[in-house]
Amino acid sequence: MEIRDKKEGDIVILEPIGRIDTNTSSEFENKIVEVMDSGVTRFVVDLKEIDYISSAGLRVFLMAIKKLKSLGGSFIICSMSDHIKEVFDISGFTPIFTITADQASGLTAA
Amino acid sequence: MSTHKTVRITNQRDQIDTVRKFFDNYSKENKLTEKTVHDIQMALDELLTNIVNYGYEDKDEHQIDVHFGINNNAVNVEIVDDSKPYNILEQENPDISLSVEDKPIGGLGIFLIKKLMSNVDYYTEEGKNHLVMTKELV
Repeated sequence: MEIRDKKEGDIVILEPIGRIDTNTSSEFENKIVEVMDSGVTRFVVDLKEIDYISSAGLRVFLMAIKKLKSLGGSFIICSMSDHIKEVFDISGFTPIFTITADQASGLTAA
Repeated sequence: MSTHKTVRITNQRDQIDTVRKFFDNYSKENKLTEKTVHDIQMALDELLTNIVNYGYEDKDEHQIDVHFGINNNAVNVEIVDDSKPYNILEQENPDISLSVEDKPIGGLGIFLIKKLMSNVDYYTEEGKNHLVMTKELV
């Protein structure tokens, strides 16, 4: 899967494209781990080009927030579709993440 | 025109994508809404992954059929396979109220299917598993 990344100060913005599912979740996980290993603890993940996130993808989000919480970092999710929001709601993920409407507000929150 | 269509794959991980594309075309032909397509694609990804990754103890090739149909204002999806019998309806639901520290990693796939589909049924017949899902069209 393609994952665009850019830096804004000490915040890294990730823009994955397509689906975060069984086939692609490990690439997404590797990308986050690689950025974390470079010392970054503040993330904004922009989901505007994501069609769906399966449970394999949800694992990666949970792994990331657990890790970053223990490091005092932040993991903001923005530009979520209503369908994905519903998946987060059902999974009990909505209260544990900071979710913002767009990337600009995500950067403010990070 | 009949809305009944079937795609047959083998138990290879890359074949899951074949089903995804097949259903993508099916949903266009039948003008399904984005929400319906999203939820069914998710369910297919979860279920087929489980079957392919955990369903077989041998290394042989196995066939998996996925049937699609529309009637009574609902999409019906049926997965028929000869993997180990596993009734997903018997799986306990996760406690979603746990804090981030206590949340276990994983265990959400089946729960999401049960929540996103209007109805899920499972039975075995002549050595095959039948997983039948219904998604009402709104």
